[in-house]
Amino acid sequence: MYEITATILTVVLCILYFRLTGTVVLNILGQKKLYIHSELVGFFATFCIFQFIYVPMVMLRANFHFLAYGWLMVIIITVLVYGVYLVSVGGRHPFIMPEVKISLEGTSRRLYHFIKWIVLLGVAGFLVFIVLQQYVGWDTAFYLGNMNEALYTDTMYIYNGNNGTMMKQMDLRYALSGFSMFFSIPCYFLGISPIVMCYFGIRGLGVILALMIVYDFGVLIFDAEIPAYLMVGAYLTVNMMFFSTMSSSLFFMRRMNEAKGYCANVVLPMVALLLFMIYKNKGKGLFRLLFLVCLGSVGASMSSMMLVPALLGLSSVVIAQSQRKLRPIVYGIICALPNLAYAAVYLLNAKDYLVIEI
Amino acid sequence: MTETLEILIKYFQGPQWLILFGLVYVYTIVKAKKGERISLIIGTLLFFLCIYNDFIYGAMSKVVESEVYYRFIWIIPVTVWIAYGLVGLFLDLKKIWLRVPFVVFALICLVSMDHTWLERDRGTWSRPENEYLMPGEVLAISEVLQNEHPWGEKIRCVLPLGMTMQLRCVDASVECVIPRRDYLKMSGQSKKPYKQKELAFMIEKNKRPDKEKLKQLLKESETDYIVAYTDYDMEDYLKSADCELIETTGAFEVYRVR
Repeated sequence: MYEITATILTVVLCILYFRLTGTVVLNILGQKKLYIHSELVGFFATFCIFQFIYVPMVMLRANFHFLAYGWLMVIIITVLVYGVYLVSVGGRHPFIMPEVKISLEGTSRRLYHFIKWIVLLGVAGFLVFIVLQQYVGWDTAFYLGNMNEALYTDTMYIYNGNNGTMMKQMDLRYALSGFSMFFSIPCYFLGISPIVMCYFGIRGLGVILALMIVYDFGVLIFDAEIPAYLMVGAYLTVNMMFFSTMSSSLFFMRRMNEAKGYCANVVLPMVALLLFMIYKNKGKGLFRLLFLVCLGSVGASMSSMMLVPALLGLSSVVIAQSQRKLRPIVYGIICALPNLAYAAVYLLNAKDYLVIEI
Repeated sequence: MTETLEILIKYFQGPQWLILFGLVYVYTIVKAKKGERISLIIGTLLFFLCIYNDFIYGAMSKVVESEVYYRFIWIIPVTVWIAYGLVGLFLDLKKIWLRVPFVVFALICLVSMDHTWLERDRGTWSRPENEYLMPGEVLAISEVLQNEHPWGEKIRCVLPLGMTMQLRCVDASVECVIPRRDYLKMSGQSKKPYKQKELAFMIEKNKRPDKEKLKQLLKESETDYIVAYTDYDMEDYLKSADCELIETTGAFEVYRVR
């Protein structure tokens, strides 16, 4: 029971940290009034920072505990800096969202609360259902194996996650993304088994972030809160039923503990949400925020290195057409650069031009 | 049928979801303003022209694995879009008495979609035995093995397929003698050559090599432990190859290689 409690505590602390980070980022980028959950922005900003520490360490084959202590230091320093910054600028309060203008027009407050609580109860039930899925596939075993190896051997991606043997060279297809190691750090400090963190922590956090994005989509489209809650409810119902082996729903329902699940349900919808905001002219300088999200996206999932540029390319052309300007295409290319850089490193490694021997 | 169309149909798992998504797409087009409508159509055309077609599929297959190509459908937020369509249509019905039958109808449609996974994969969402969501037997074997060696040391084990995945989820000290590709090869999913063919067939299919051969295989592979199915009744056979039974956990037996 201790491990589950510690995992829930970790998830809560992660969300608070993401919220603080996101608030600071939104303030710095001049997006105080943008209606978006700051936790989402914070999630990607956190992975940006994490990747800057993680990638050099994994390339240099550093021990895992260096990463763990290094990241702990970063968290302490950033919390202090964020706190001082927010107090000094008096910007967006970290715990208050901007108001939706037409939040209750034409509907009674009672109905609003009824729908809100019904949906929230549904979400809670759904969350329990998802975290209790007892699914083990090769991929799950591989990612869990990597986390277990980090804690047991104090190394990162030196041993094969599937069979535990030492590898001849580092597989950058997995090693470039810090996703598994990010969640191994709380396991290291709090004595949580990676399997508990995977099933309860990573899945739970992923579902919460995915639902926040759907909610923000709802507010963006309908400009009101009730339809946004209804959309969350409809989204959960659809996911429950749409369950092919390739669908994002499968990854949402069962494999949210894998980076691919985050890619399908958090990274790509978040990029789509920001692109939709840009299309709808919901704020100035949103491409800067998009760049940050893209920069952090590979940290959250290696699949993003190809999928995010594809989405960016497609959408920036549509936005350019609607605005009758070429600038969105240029911005789209700039936003895709981090992902393309990762893709280039991955391809060089896959074709044996860039080999990190162990 | 083209490869990408096959993937698309597999993705939507039959025509129902494809039709539903098509209806939501049409609804979006109808509801959109003129400029938005053009953008949507351009976006759709671009998706099929630049990303989702056999030419790109072929090109991608040469660079990366073709099995991951289906992920490009993820760039369309299908589930969010369907949710939007359902809620949008619901709100468009201005008369309250129309909304109730709409919700009932929508729920009937959704429930009647293919969701056989709920029944088929009952095991994945049945009541868990412990907080690790793992069969108790896996934890018991892990404990037996962990008690056999000091922390930080690795042990090499011959394991059946299911146990390989589950044990590695909870125990990093276990090093699998039989690599994943051998199991995939056995089930026809891999074309790569076997690495531990005899051991893989012995543990998974109960095809036993003779005792001297087994001793040699265990020595060459530096195997420390064997976990075997109890049903295969290998005790006498393995004992004759210098293995010692140290634990039985119901469906599995754990042997130490001397």
